[in-house]
Amino acid sequence: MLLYLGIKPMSFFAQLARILRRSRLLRASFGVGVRRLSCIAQLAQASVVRGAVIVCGVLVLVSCARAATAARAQTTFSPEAIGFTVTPPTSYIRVKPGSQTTHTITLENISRRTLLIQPRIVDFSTDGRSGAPILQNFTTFPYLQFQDGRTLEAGFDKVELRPEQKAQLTLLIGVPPTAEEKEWPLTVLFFAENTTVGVPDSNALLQGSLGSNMIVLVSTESELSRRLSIIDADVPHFTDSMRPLTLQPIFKNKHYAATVASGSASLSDWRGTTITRELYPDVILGYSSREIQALSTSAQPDSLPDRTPITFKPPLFFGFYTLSYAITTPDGIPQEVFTQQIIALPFMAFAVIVVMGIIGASYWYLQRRNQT
Amino acid sequence: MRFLFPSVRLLRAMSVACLLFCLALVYSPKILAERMESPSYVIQFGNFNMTSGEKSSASYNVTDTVGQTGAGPYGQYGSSGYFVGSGFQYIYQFSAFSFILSKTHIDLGELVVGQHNTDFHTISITSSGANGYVVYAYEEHPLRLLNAANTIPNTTCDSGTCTNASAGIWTDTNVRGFGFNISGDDVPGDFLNTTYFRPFADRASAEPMQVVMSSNTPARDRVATVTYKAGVGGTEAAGNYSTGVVYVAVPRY
Repeated sequence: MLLYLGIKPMSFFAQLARILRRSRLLRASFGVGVRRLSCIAQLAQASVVRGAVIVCGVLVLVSCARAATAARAQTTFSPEAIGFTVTPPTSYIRVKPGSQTTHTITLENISRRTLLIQPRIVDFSTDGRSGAPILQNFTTFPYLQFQDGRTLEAGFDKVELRPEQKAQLTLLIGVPPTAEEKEWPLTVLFFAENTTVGVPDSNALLQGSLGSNMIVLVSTESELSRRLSIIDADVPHFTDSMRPLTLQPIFKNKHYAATVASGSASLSDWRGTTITRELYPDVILGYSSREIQALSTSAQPDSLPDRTPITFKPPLFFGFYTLSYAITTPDGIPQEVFTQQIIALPFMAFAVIVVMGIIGASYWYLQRRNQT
Repeated sequence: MRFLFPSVRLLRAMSVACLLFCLALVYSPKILAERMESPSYVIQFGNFNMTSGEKSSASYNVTDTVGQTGAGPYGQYGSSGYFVGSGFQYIYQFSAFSFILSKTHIDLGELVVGQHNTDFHTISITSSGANGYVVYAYEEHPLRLLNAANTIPNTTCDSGTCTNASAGIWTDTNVRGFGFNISGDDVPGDFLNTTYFRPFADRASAEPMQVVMSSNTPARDRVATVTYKAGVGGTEAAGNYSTGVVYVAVPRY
C-alpha cells in the first residue's frame, strides 16, 4: 500500500525512527519509555523491511505464475493457429406453412489471429447408421430469405473476426402457405480463409471449416406421430450361453419428421424373468434410419447420458428366451414393435466336448493301430 | 530487549498480513449483482456461489455449483420421460463446438528425388453436445506446379494399393507421391503406426470427402496429429508444388 501511495517503506520507517529518537516532546512525556519506542522503531524498520522483502518475493512469484499461465496459453494458441467455435452445434427448427422464423448461429474466433469467415449452407444426407452428416456440395432449401433481395446462390458476405470477437449469423426462414410438408437437413459451414502469403517452397495451405447443423421441418401438424419400425433387428435365433448377447438394431423412421427413438429392449425367459435395457434417445431423421444403442446405466442425472451397446448377460443363460423392442409413443405408452424367440445353448462347451472327443478318439485309434 | 521479541514478531506478521490484504484487495475481481423487479415479476440475479466449475483428472470429470438457488436435476433420463437440469453446471451441456488447426501452412521444402519430405500439424476438437462429431478432409487437387499442369500424383504407398479409404505402409523413398498419416484421438483404425499413409480425397476428381476423425460421444480436447509426406520421382519437373487441404468439422445430429 505504501508503494501504491508513492512512499518508499525503508525511508518511511527510517524517518519514523529518527523522529522518535529526536523527539523531545515524546522524551518529556514518556521518559525512558521513549528509548524503548526508539528500539521498537529500529527493530520495526528491520522487521518491516524483511516483511516487505517477503511480500515482494510473493509478488514476484505471483507475477511469474501469471506469466507462466500466459505462456502456456500462448503455447496452446500459437500465432499460426486458427480456431473457432460455433453455437449451437445442432438445431431443430419447425415452421408452419405460411409463417416465418429466424435462426441465429454464433461464431467466435478463439485464435490469436484475425479470421476471414465465409458462411455457406449445404444439404446433408445420412449414412443410415451413425448420425454423421454426409455433406453435399449444394443446397436445395428454397425458403431462406434475404432482406436485401439477394439470392442464396449469391452467397453470404465474408465476415472478419478479430481474436476473441464474436459474430452472429441470423437466417430468416419464410415458408409459403402452399409449401410441401417436408424435413430439410442442412449444415451451415463457416470456412476460415487461409491468408498465408509469401510461401517459397512446395507446400500445402490448410483451410478449416466448422459446421452447425440445422434441421428444418415444414409441417402443419401440431402433434407429430412417432412411426418407427425395425429394419434390422440383429437378433439371432440361436446364441451361445457362454457369451453375452449383444445387439445392434437399426430403426427406421417411416414419418417425414425427425423423431426420438425412445423405448426399451427386453429379454424374458420361460420363468417370466425380464431384463430391460432403455434405448438411448437418438434422433432419427425423417424417412431415415439409425443404429440404436442402449442408455448407459452408469449415467448420472447431472451429466450427459452416454451410449452403450445393447447387451444382455442373464445368469444361467440357457433355454428359450423372448427378445422384444418397445417404442414409447409421444403419449408415454410403450408399444411393442418387434418380438423374436431365441434359444441359448452352450455351443462353446459343445465345441470343446466335440474337439476333446475327436482327440480322444484319434488317440484311441492310434493306440489300437500300434497294438495291431 | 528480550521482552520485545514477541512484539517484533507480531509486528512483522501484522505488516505482512496488512500488505497481503491490500494485495488481495487490489487483485480481487469486480462482482456485480442486481435484482430486477416490478409488481408483476422478479428476476433474481447474482446469488453468491461458493464454488462452481469443471473439475477433472485422468479418471473423472465433474461439474458443480455450490450456493445456487433452485439448482438440481428434475426427472431422470430415460425413465420418467423428461429431464430438467437447473444450475450453472448444466450450461456445459450446451457448450459450443470448437475446432483448432495448429497452423495453416505445411512447408514441404525442396523436393529431391529419392527423399521424402514431411511436415505436420495438430487438429483439436471439443464437442460437448451428446452426439459427437466428424472431421472430414479433402485436397483441392494433387500437388501441382504453380502455373503449370505438372503434378505429383497422390501416393499409392509401397504396395501400390493404399487408397483414400485404406492406409498402407509408405517408407520406400523411391516411391513418389503425396499423402498423410494421422495419429491421436478418434482417428481411423487403419493408421496402425506412423509408417501408414493414405492419399487425400481429390476434390478436383469429384472424390467424396474422407473421415479423418470421428466420435459418437461427447468430445473434449480431442487432439490428432496429421503428418504430410511428399516425394518426387525422376520424371517430375523441378519447381515448387502446391495444393490446398480443407478440414471440415461437423457435429453429429
